[in-house]
Amino acid sequence: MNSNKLISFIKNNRNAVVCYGSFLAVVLGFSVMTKGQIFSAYNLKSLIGQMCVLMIISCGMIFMFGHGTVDIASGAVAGLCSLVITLVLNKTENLGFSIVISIVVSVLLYLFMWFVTAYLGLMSIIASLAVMFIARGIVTYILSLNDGRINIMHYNLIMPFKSDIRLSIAAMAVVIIAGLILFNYTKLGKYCKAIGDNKLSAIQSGTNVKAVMFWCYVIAGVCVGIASLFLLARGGNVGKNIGAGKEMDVMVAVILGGMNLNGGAKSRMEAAIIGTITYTLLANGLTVAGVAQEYITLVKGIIFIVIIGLTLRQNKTVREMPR
Amino acid sequence: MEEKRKLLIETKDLTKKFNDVVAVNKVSIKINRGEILGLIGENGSGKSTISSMISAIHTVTSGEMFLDGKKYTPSSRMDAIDNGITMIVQEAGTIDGLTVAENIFLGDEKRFIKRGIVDGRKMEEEAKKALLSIGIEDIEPSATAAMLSFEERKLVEVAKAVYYDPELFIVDETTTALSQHGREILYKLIHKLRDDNKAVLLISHDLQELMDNCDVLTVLRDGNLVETISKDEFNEDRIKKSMVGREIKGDYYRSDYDGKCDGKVIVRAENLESDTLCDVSFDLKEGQILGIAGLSGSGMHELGRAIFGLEKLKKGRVTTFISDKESEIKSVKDALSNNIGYISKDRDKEALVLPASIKDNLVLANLSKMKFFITKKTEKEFAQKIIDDLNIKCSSMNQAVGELSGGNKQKVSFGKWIGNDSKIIIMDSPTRGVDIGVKTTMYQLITELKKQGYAILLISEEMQELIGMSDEILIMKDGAISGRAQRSAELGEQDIISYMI
Ligand SMILES: Nc1ncnc2c1ncn2[C@@H]1O[C@H](COP(=O)(O)OP(=O)(O)OP(=O)(O)O)[C@@H](O)[C@H]1O
Ligand SMILES: [Mg+2]
Repeated sequence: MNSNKLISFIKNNRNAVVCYGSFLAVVLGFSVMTKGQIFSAYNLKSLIGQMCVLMIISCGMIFMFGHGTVDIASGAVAGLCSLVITLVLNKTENLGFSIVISIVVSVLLYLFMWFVTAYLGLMSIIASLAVMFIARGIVTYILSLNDGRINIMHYNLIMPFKSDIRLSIAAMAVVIIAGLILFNYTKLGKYCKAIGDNKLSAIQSGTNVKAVMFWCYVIAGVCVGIASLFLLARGGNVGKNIGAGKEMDVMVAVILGGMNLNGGAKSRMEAAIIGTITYTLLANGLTVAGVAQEYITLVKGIIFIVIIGLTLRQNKTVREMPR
Repeated sequence: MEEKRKLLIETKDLTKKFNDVVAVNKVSIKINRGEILGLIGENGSGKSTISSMISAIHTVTSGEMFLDGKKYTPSSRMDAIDNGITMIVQEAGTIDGLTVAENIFLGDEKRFIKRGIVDGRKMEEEAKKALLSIGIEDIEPSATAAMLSFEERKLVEVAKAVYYDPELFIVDETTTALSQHGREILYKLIHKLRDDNKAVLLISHDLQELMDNCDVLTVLRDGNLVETISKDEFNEDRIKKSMVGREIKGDYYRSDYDGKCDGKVIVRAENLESDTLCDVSFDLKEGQILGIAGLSGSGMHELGRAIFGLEKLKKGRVTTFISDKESEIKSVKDALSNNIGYISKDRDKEALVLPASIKDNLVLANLSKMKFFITKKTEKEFAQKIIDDLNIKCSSMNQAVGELSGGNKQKVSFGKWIGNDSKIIIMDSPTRGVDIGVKTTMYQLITELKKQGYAILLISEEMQELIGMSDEILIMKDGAISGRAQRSAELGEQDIISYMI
């Protein structure tokens, strides 16, 4: 009887189980494997630095996944924005201005995706694919004019974004709190989830789909724009691979957090927050435990498949219950 | 009448649990050949669950079933069909992307395989036969289900169910999805099956319908079998009491016969023309309940969609006059920004977000009225009130709407628009599948809305509902308005039907 209850609890709360289960597993597993090293003060500091970029982007992406858009451009856009910051900084030496420009560029790219999806009726993933190529293309082109690498002339200006852990914490805190509030306590979040589940009913219940999507894309754009600064600070310069693969990291992270990439009612901001922590711990823990980089990618891939498999099954069982 | 009927299927202590919720509790029923057994009970009493277990849509938690005296444990829906049990489900049972023919033979395509591929032409021919056998001529087997109206899709299911020569034919709350014509087809079918010594299980909330068609009635309450009543003991009050466990009193419909409305015009439809509509014009006033009656294909549902901006108009215009501002409705967006609410007949696909909770669904249509920042408390209070008002049966307000019984889903779909800031509400079959007790509440709420000055367009297949509630009834035929009837005590069904045909 008791085990039955447990099973039904797991079934009903699969997302939460994935989210906290994987978190606990990673924390416990690596505490043992690294004999607690992973939680040394030094490593904690580096963990926070490592998770900052991912955390900010993931929080923004919840608004995209939530309404059913799988965005694969975030890495490329972040790369382009890092380049933009570098160029502006090298010209003007004005940090604030360069951040603003980065956010503007990122938001514009996201709004381009929004326009293509909302007005031209293209599948959102296609729009996002297009933007990914555009952003990558621009980065590659500009770098090719500059011997494949652009250095930051005034690195001291953005160095604190890597070295001063408080800046990372503050940025993450702001994004997390804003994300939690917007997603859980405002119209925007509620409309967003409804669109993810059933666009038709959402429309007939008074959702202005285009407007809601507009704001979701803006939020995603702002987050990527901000994250670019930290990405650049950590990278130190702009090479052709900057930001590459970040979109996959984001997906694995939110999936580890129990997010369903189809979006809808089960979407939670916690998926981004806990998922990012779990993911960073995982990647970091494997390194600390001495696993070679090649295997780490493989492990990521396996986790991706396993958890996707679980969440997809869940959808099917829901659909198989016509009454 | 008194000759012994042969037992076809029997359940013994049949039980179904969804997690902790006991939906069906040790129910033992007998279904005899040559008999139409009615199943009645309030929303969420377990009717659909029992029939779903018999037709293998749901698994059985405990208890047994016997078919022709032998133990019956169906493994899949197709297995149930092979055992002669077919069912028309309460919600949509067709798949949008497939053609009518593919829907009819879903799961049974093997029969048409020739040299490794499915012979589409042969399948369509066979589907046409299936449709014709129940007297439907105007549905093309090659059309995709998505192109059909809600009623037509239900009729496709009927054709499918009957095609397999059922020994037991289960009809779950289907009549309310059909217009008069479709209902007649269905009644004729079940009587024919009975006369052929087959069995029928008919689920409905329409007492009159059950009393007219059934030989025996089984009453369920909260998953328990209350009693089985035979035809000579049928009595409306007795059945109602047995269903609810107490006496139902009070006015069912509106009690006044004052159909005059002096409110100002708030919606004006002028010469609407679309694929189905043909030169439709009318005014809807503040505080008016305007009923729309019609047969299938008369355009009554399309008219509702047109006012909500969902129907492509070839000609004509819909205008609203909200606080003296004149605006034309061309899209859903226009409709919403001009305070029009719409309760779609297709609750699963259009009205509800099934995976979302009851609370989220109720709140969704009311977000426009709420502040940008919404606390959990506001949401909860808001949802609880509607759940209490409409007596929505659920384990908590956080339960997914998709897990509710049909009638309870309809209550959510209706409840969304009550207390919403819309001034004009288009209700397409608002009480579909709702039990008598809650219907009474809904009618009271509609009357209340009228008093508050709401303008209501009531589209319904239920003649009694229209006569009982409307200030004026427009009767539609072939896409046009063929007659009008004012509210009066003398108005009868016949007066309206005469305009329909
Ligand atoms: N998939 C499910 N998960 C959880 N609970 C369910 C599920 N399906 C049904 N229930 C519950 O089982 C109970 C019986 O539901 P059922 O659909 O059989 O009612 P019903 O008698 O057909 O009602 P209605 O007249 O509204 O169609 C309800 O309380 C419902 O909430
Ligand atoms: Mg039911």
